[in-house]
Amino acid sequence: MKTSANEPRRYTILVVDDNQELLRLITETLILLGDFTVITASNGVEGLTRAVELHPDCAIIDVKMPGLDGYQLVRALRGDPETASMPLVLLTALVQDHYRFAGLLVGADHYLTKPIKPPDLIAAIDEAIAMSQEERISRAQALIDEPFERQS
Amino acid sequence: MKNPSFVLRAERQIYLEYDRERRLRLSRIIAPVFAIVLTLVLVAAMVLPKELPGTRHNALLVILSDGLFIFGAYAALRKWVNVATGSILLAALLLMALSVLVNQPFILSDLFTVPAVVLIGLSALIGLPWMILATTFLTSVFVFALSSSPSLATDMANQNNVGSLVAFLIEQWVLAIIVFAVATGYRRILRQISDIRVQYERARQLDELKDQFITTVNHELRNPVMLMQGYIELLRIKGETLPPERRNAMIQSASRAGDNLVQLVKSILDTRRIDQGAKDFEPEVVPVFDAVATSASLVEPGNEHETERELRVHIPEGLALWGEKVRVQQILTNLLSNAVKYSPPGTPVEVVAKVVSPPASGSLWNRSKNTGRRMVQISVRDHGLGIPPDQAPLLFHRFARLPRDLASTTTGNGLGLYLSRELAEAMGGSLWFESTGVEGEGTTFYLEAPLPPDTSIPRAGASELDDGRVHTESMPLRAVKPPQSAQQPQPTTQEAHHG
Repeated sequence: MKTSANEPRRYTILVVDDNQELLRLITETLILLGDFTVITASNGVEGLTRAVELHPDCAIIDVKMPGLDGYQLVRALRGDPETASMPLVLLTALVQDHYRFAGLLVGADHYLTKPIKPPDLIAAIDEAIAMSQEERISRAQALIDEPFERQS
Repeated sequence: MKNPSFVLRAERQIYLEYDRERRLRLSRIIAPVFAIVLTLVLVAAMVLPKELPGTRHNALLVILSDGLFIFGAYAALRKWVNVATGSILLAALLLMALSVLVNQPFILSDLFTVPAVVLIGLSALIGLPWMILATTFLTSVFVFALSSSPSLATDMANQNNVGSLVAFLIEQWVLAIIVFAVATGYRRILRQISDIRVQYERARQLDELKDQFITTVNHELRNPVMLMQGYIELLRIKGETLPPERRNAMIQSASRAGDNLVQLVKSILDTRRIDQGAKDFEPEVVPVFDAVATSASLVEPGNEHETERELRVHIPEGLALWGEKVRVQQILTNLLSNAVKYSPPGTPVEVVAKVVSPPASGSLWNRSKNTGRRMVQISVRDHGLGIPPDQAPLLFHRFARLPRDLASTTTGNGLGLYLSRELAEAMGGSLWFESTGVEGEGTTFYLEAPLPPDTSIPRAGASELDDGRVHTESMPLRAVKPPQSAQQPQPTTQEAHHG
């Protein structure tokens, strides 16, 4: 965790996306702007394997992927005690409210829509990592308690 | 999503459904009418003068014939055509038999009035105005013929009887004309209601298609936009600190994303143009060899990684098809581009054209619509990875790409084959493929298009083909090598990247 503004951040971020070009861009962004260590995976199954093996500090996950999609991957990570508290950020081109609601409901900490500027992506990752487990739980509870109409 | 034929099928379905609903509703009305009429006739038969010979038998015949008339009308509503026809004919025969037995056309005419009115009324309800007039005409002919019988000459000499007969016929025709007018108006109203329902359904379907299209386009455009924007932002923020080769690599990536975006927009617009303008098809004679050669020259050369590939062509001289030149070239360019993209460097691409006779049988994915007309068949074969049979259904879907291609560096927007098939079908042809899915055996795509009509420019006929005058040659086809990995950071799944 970051302790002061002057200390380098050395978080390890897992990026899961089936689009190789986007994977390359996000990796470049995290390395250049965030000073992160980046692990990549090109599909959901691979992402799940690497998350369990390497325990990254945060995961950025695309939604539409062949095989295990982003929602299923988030649900799987939340269901595994070893990865249940991992900050998870969904990054997707699905912008409709019901997709966003579904993403947050399965356990994502952030639901980001493409296109997103590199500084905004870094800020979202920082916020997800900084979120405590208590904050995550209360946020999920609020999401369940609130009627869907208010969420949209 | 759909072309005009989809909307037309939906319209027909609406009309059929509405017609069925209406007939079933009417048939439920007939059941109580059936019971009421039978009861009335039974009562009438009971109060008939006792001096009429065989009254009870006559009453039973009348009841039976009336029942058959009404049942025939019910069967007509349910579209049991044979049953309806048989019932009505049998009823008519029974009445004729009764007329012979009774030998009393006037009483008979009264008895006949009941089923005639019932039938006329039912015809109106069914919405068949012509049946009203036909029924009345037959009734008139029947009564007139009966009254002309020599055995009834004595009765017909009585002017009162003649007057009754004439009154009956006039009554029948007046009733028929009134009911005909009502039935015609009723039918027009039904049609208008159906039209309104069709328009509503069409608007609803188009609204759904529009929403689906917008959702899909919205989704597909965001990735290339993010790529462009992302690299430009990185260059803006960190460009000065980056080494030149990394800066150049980012610029190239942004440029490539821009090109893909342009291509995607063009494909999407083409898709909408096809959906809207499928009927705007102006065919012409298209020489096959020229189309192939032009398409080969249009295959996207890519960038500095391009190499030449061998294109082997085997096309009968003078062979032409009936289609739009631009569309044919678009299809062939797409097929040749795919053949190049999805096969290893150095492997040839083969194009063979011939005239085929219908119908062609084939695999599940053979959607040849050859309906009896001779067609020009152009096959494009590569020696690449092939298409796994379980993924074949994906191939012609909009924006669909095989999972194998998604995970690779091969670019594509998933619209090429969808567009090509739509274009082929708009020309009256078809597009399909055959592939074993075995690497190295590749895939063969087949494009079929109609031969030009006989009155147009001479085309290759069977005799010329039999002579074996075939244009066979090899020509260079530019191809794209897989991009080299040295110049830009290549995230892999085997290692972690450190800043």
